[in-house]
Amino acid sequence: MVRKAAFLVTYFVTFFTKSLYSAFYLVSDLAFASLHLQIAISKPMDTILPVLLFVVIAAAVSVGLIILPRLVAPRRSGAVKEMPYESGMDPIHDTRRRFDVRFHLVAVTFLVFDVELLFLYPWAVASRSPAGIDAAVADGMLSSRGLAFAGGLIFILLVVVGFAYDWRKGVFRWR
Amino acid sequence: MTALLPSPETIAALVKIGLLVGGLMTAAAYLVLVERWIAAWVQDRRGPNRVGIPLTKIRLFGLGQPLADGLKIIFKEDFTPRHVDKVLYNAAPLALLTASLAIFAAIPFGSVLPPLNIPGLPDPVPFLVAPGLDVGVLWVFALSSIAVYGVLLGGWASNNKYGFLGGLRSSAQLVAYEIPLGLGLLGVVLATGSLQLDIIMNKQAETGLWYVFAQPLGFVVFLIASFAEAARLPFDLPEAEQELVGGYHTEYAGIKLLLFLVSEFLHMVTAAFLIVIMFLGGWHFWGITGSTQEVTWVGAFLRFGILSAKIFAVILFFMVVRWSWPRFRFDQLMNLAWKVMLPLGLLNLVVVATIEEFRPALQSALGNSLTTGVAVGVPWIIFFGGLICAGMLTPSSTDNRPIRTRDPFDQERHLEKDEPMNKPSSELVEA
Repeated sequence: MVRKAAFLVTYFVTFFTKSLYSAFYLVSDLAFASLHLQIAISKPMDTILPVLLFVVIAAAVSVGLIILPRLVAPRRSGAVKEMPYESGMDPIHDTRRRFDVRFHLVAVTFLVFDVELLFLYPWAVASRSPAGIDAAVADGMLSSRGLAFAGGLIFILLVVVGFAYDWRKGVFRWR
Repeated sequence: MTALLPSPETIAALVKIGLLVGGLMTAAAYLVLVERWIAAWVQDRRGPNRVGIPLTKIRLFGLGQPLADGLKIIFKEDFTPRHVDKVLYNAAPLALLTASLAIFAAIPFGSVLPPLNIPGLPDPVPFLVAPGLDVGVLWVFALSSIAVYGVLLGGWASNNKYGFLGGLRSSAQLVAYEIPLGLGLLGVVLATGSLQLDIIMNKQAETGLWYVFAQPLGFVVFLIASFAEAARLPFDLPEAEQELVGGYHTEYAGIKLLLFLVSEFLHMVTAAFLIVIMFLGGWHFWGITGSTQEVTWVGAFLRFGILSAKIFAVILFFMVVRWSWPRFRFDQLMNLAWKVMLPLGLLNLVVVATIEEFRPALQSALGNSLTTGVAVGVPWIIFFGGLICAGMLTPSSTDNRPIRTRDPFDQERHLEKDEPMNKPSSELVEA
C-alpha cells in the first residue's frame, strides 16, 4: 500500500514537473548563452595557455622523476622477487576475477548524481552573476526570476525523488 | 623578432608555475616531516631529529630528513614486477602526480601584486597562474576526479589482491564523497555567482563575512568530504595497512611509490587550499589586510602570509585528526556518504539558494543589517537542526552481517548457524 502510494506520488510529481523542468532547461540555456557570449569576448587563448603550460610542466616533472632512478639506481631481479606480494603466501589465482556488484552500483549512482550536480552549476552561477538570470530577465528572454528559482528547486526535488527511490531499493546498504 | 619571444604574460605564468611546482614539491616533502613530528608528539616519543647537515654533527632538529629520504628513494631500485600490466602500472603514478600538480593552475595562492608597470603585462598581477579562467572550480573538481583514475589503474594494473581490493575500495570511496564535495562547493558558487576562486575570495573580503559563518552546513559537509577525498585518517580505508598491507600501491616501490605518496600529500594541500579559499576567507583578515584590490608591497605579502598561515593551520588540523580518530568501517563510510552527507548537502544548497533568491526583497523590507542577521541566523538554525536530525536518524550501531539468501545456488548458505551442513537444497528452498 505504502509502496503503491509512493509510486503514484513519484509518478505525478514527475509528470507535473515535466513542463517546469523544460522551462528550467530553457532558463539555464539562456543563462549559459549570455555567459558564453562574455567568455567569447574575452581572449580565450590568453587564459587557457597558462593552464596548458602548467599541465605540460607537471607532466614533465613527473616523467623526469620516473626516469631519474633508471639512470642512477641498481637493477637486479629474480623469479621470487617478481612474484605478487601477498604476505608470503603463494598467489592462488589471477586477481582479475569477478568482484562484488555493489561497487558497480556505487559507480552508477555516482554517475547519476554527479551529472545532476553538473546541471546545477550553470544555474548556481547564473543566479547571481550580472550576465546571468538578471540579464535574461532584463532582455525579456525570461518573464521573471521566480520561474528560474522554481525550476532549480524542482530539479533538486527530482534529484531527491531519485535519491529516496535508491535508498528504498537498498542501493546504499552495504552488507 | 619580437614575435618569437614569449609575451610578458607567458613569462609571468611560467614564473608562477615554477614557483608553485617547486614550492609544492618542497612543501610536500617538509609536510611529511611535520606529520612525523606531530605523530611523535602525540605518541610521546622524539620523532625524526637526527639528520642535519651531512658530515658535521649539526642536527638542525632533523630538517635534513626530507632531503635524505628523497635521495634514498632516488637511489632505490625502480622495480617493475613481471605480473603487472606495464603500461597502466607506469601510467597510474604519472597521471596522479600530473593531475594533482595541474590542479593549482586555477587555485590562487595570494591576492595581487601592486602595479609593476611592465609594458605588455596587465596590472595588477594576481597570485594565480591562469587569471580569468571562467571554469576555475570545475577545473579543480575535474582534476581531483582524475585521482580516482590513478588509484584504480594502480590497483588494477598491480595484479595483486591487496592492490585490487584497495583500488576498488578507494575508487568507491572517492566517487561517493565527490558528490557531497560538489554540493558543498555549489552553495559557495551560488552565493558568489562565479566559478573563479579569486573572485570567491574577493567577495568574502568585500563583505567581511566568510562563508564558514554564512554556510556552516556547507562548510562541515565540504570539510568531511575533503578528508575523504584526500584519504586522510578517519577515511584512509584505501590503504588500511592492517587489512590491505599498502592498498592500491602494495606492488609499487621506489620512485613510483614516492609519486603516489607525494600526490596524496598534494591532495591534502589542495583540500586545505580549497577549504581556506572558499570558506575561511582566503587572504582576508578583519582589520589587517584591507579588502580592496589596491595593495602595497607589504600588504601583498601580508595577504600571502595570512593565506599561508591559514592553510598551514588547516593542514595541522588534518594531521592532528589523523592521530585522534579510529578508522571507519566500510559500511559506515558508505552510510555516511550517501545517507548523511548527501541529504545535508542538498539541504544546504536549498537553504542557500532560498536566502540568496530573497535577499533583495529582504533588504528592501528589513534593511541591510537585519538582512545579514537573517542570512546568517537561518543557516545556523538549519545547521544545528540538520545535524541533530542526522544524528537521530543514523543508528548508533549497524548490522553489517552479510545478508544470507535462501537461494539454493548461494554458496554461503552453510554458514547459517541454525542450519546443518548437509541439508538437501530442496528443504532450504521450502524454508
